This record gives sequence, C-alpha cells and structure tokens, in this order.
Amino acid sequence: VKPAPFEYFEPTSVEEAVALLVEHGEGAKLLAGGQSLVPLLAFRLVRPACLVDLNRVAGLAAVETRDGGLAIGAMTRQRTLEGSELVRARAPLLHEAVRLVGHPQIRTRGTLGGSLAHADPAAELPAVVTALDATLIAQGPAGRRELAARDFFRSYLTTALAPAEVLVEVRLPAPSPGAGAACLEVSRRPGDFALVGLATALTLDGDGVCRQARLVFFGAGPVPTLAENAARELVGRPIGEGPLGRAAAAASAELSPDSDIHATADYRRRVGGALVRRAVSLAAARARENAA
Amino acid sequence: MRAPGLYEAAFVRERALDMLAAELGRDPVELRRRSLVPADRMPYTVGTDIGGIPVVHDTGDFPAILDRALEAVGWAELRAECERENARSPEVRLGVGLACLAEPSGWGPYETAKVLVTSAGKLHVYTGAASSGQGHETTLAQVAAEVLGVPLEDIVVRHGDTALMPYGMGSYASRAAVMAGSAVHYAALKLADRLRAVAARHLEADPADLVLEGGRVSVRGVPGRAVTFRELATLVAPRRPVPGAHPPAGRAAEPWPEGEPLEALHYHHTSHETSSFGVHVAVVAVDTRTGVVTPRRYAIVADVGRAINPTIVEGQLAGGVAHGLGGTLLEELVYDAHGQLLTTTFMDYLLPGSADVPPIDVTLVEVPAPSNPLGVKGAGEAGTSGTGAALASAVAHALGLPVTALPLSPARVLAMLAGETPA
Repeated sequence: VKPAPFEYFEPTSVEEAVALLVEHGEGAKLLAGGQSLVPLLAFRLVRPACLVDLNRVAGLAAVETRDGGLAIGAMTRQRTLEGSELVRARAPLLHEAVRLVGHPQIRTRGTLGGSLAHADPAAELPAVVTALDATLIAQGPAGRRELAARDFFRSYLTTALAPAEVLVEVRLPAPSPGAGAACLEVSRRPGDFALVGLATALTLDGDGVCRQARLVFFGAGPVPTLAENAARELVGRPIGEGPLGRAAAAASAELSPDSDIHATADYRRRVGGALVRRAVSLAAARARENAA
Repeated sequence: MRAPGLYEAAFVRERALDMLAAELGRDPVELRRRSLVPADRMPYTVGTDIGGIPVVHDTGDFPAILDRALEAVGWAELRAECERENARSPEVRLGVGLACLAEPSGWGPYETAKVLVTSAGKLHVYTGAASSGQGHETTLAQVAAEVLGVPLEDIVVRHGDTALMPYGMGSYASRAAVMAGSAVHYAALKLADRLRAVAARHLEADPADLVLEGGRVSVRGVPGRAVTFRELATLVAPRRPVPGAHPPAGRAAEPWPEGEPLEALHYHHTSHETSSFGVHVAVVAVDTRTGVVTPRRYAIVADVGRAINPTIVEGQLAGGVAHGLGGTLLEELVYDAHGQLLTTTFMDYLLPGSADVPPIDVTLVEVPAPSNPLGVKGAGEAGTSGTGAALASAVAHALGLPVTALPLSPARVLAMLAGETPA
C-alpha cells in the first residue's frame, strides 16, 4: 500500500525542525530512520498531514565521550552504534542490544533516537537506556531540557516529549568499576520484535556483592518495565543460585504483560523469569571480569 | 502449505512409529527398516488407490536411502551424543529425528506440450503446466534440447497462457517434470521426425541417416551436409524459396511437406503414477526454559528417478524443507473467538527467512522410473512433506516427550514441558 498524501519538509537545523512542528501542530510527524514510521504510513495506520525529515539536520549523529560517559546524537544509525569501538567500550549493553534490533538493513537506516521516540514497548533500545539510567535531551521552542530515561516512556508508543520537541541526544553515564550488563531476548525469528526480553545492568563490589541492579523488561508491558522486586532480591547479596531463583520468581510475579497471537501473558511471565536467571548470571560474570 | 495431506499424514504416521518403537523398546530406525519395502519386492503394489489409480512403488531401494540419510548426519553417534548431553539435564537439549516417506507423484490424467521452430530458427516450447518458480523454463528446455539438439539459449519456454496452449492441468502434486516433461519429450520426438523429413528432402538423404545437433540437421558422418533449423523454417514457409535450396528459386513451392509448419503437439496421457521415496533427518536444539526450537542441521536423501537438472531439484528440496520448517515452527492461522482471522499480514503470519533455516544437506538418488520416458519421479513436495514429522521426531528425542501436535511454537513447547498441553 502507499501512504496517504502528506506534506514533506527537510529542515537543516533543529531550530528549523522545531519551528515546523510548532507551525503544523499535531498533524506533523518527525521522520528519522523511517524503519517504524514508513511501514505505518504504508499500512495507513498513521496519516500525518506533514512529515518533518530530520535526515538533513546537521550535528545529530555524533558519538562522543562526555564526563566519562557517552553523548550520542539522536540521529546516530543503529549500525554505527554496532560498529563503534567507543560504544563497545563505554556502553557494552547498548552494543550488545543494538545487534538484536531488526536486521542489518534495518539498522543501517534505523536511528537510536527514532527507536526511543517511537517507544515500541517490545523494542530493545528503550529498555537499554532505562537500564543504563540514561538522560535524554529534548529540544523545543523554549530550548533544551533533560529527561531521565525512566520518566521518558509513558505508555505504548507514547513518550514525555511535547508535541513540538525533538529528541536530540542521549547521554549515558560513565560505567562504574564492577559494572556488568547483558541483554537477552526471545523472539520468533532473528530480527523480530521480542516476545519478551531483558536488559540488565549490575554493579558488583570487590567482594562480589551486588550493589546495584537494574532489570528492565521489554515486550512485557506498555513501557520498558523495571522489575524492582527482582532487583531487590539481588542487591546486597552475592549473585548465586538462591538470589537468582528468588529474583526470577519475583520478576515472573511482578510482570503484567499482554497476550497476543505470538505469546500469552503467562508465557511472557514465565520466560521473563528464565531470562532473569540467564541475563543476571551473564551480567554478573561480566561484572566480575570488569572488577578484576 | 506445500504437500497438502502428505505433510500431515507423514506427521501422524512417523510420530506413531516413534511412539510404537518406544513402547516396544525398539530402535526407531530398526522398526522402520523392517517396515520398508525391500528393493527385491519392486514393483510393489501397496493395495491402496488414489482416485481409482492403484498406488505402486515402481522402483527404488528404500532401505539403502534410509542408510544414506543416517550416514549424512552420523545418526548413531549423534543420537548417542545427544542422549549423553541431555542426561546432564542442560537447559538446552539436543535431539535427532527422522521421517521416511513414499510419495505418489506425477498425477494424471494428462498434460500438454507444443514445440515449434520459429522463422528465426528458435525453438518455442509451450506447456500446459505453469511455473510459479520451479524452473520449468530451464527444465523443459533441457528436455526439448535433449531430443532436438538445440542449444538452450535458442529455446523459449512459455507457460501459463491458454492462448498458446488451450489445454493443460498445471503444476501441482509433484507432476510437472513427470507429466509436462513427458509431454515435451514426446512432442519433441514428433517435431524431430518432421525436421528430419523436411531436411531429408533438402539434403537428399534418408531421414534415418540424419542427426539433430547444434540447431542443425546433418547427414550422419558428413557434418558438412547440413541444414540449420532456421533454413528449414524458411523452406517450409509458403512461397518463400531460398536461392539454391529446395525447391529451386523461381519454381512454385510444393504444397507438402514443406508447406506445413515445423511444429508438433502432444497430449501425454497416463493411467498410473510414479512414486518417489525420501528420508528426512533433523537435528534440533530445544531451549527448555523458553520453548524455542532451533533447527541445527537437516539432511534429506530422495530418490527422484532422474534429476533433469540436479541444481533445480536440490533447490526444490531445500526450498521445500524451508517451507515445511516454516509450517512446523512458525506459520499458524490464528483466529479469535468470533472466527476472525488474526494472522492476515506477513508481520503476523511468520514465514521463515534465511536466518531460520539450518544448513540443509541434499542428496539425490537416481533410480529411473519405468513409467515415463524421462525416468523422473516427482520431487516438488518431497522436501516439505517430511519436515513436520522429522522436526517433531527430533524435538521428541530431545525432550523425551511424544510430541503429537504442531506447530511447535515456543509457547506450545513450554506448555508441553509443563504438562499443561498434551505432548
């Protein structure tokens, strides 16, 4: 199918893009990599009056170190993240997770900011930025503001961005010593959206005791879901069979996913628990390596 | 789904055989070996019929094909290795399974073909079969080329056009090579006779001494005495004599036989089918915590009678395996409580992609079928029909469960493991 007719704008600066959003109001939609929006247009599931294409806006695709962490432009292609040594070294969770996004063709076009602003609850990157406690920078008519990733995702395909705001940058904090992370998912086919997935980031101290744990599920609710009860079972203890089992059970209990044609809610809860065991074990092993 | 009926029947039969073997405490391979028709009993009349046509296994060595399939994956060692590994109760378990199938193919009653030489000397082949990607353009061209000695690049195959070929049945039931291939073969033989007759007159030779080769008809042993198909086409064109050719320029063309076009039509009829035999072996890994079944390897050995084009047949079999793998692991028509179909796009109805298909080892065995001039047996569905059975057999081996339902979606496998769904 072909999209319904729309007006098309190619701003070259964020300011210009914001001005277009102000001018066209709710009928305007931002186009980044187009890997979600274009199929939605083609199915006519969305019929925006105008598209504001961010692909000609300069300065939105840099990957830089900042304050020991990373500052990543919102228009950075997923494929760039995948190949970035900086990302691999400073944000290994993002590096691991981005390879689970679609296929190489999709990642070549798809952007970090596009995935976050689209806010598909089954997507990997929203869960990853939540697990990494990222700060998202939005620019609107009144200038820039910072949003914590955990406050950014409001509901299914809904974010805290105001109608005339553009997500311009993602800041990831510096990894602490003893940090370890892992992203695992179950999908029907490689590259499909996850039936359920888990991005987890831990910090272990020198004695192997878990000091911090963030377990963020995707495909398990309307937004990336922090499994706080599961995390509580881990913090303050060495990662071992007992805490793993209790964390897995806690995660299964606290998730409230939906059922769809590919998996029932019950399947997602059960497999969510299994992913806790695997992802936390893996993250803990990596954390020990980093501490050593 | 390709191989309708065959796929489902093979699943039920092969699952029953595995379950029987388990019940009797016998090796599933031995049970099958004892049940297969031995080579010295061929042709073997099964005693059943399809639409009044008795099912007969015409030729083949079924037990030998079973052995080759087992060898292809190193069956005994691999089974033992899986069982050793699985005994440690790992989260991911390994299994190896198999399925045997004898498949009636080459459904009658008829198929049609017309072959003709154009005025440019090219050969056109019209068939009543219709390719949807099976490569009829190549295969049928080869069949015609074999009889008429025409280079493949000079042959055009046209299908799916009733303006060219008013009668035809089509490509289904693993029949195209058997039925359309035979029709083309016989039509080409008729055209060869006609080409010889015209050339014999022109070359003043006995038709029996003429050979067709390289798009020319020449006198055996005298390659210089030859006439090209193009020249023959000109010769038969009404009142278009070629200087120096028969009939000589300036003289009226004789009304026959050159006045008739260089074409031949054949309706190939048959009252019996041929049957192919194949063995599938699947190797899978099953994640007991997520229910995800990952095919690791696949082997298929099939007796296709004769592979007109081995690359195409191997591709058909491998493609059939991919197709069947989709039906076994991914594809499902899901309806809601009101009967509304929910899987209406390829976003929801999941087809396998290249990343879902394991390495497929295809081995062709060629024991010609006596019932058609090409010796071919249908191969179009052999790749699909055994996949559900073989993959389920492998999953059953991995999990120690009977596995009696498809598709093997992660949710179903997990429910089977939890004892919530009958396995």
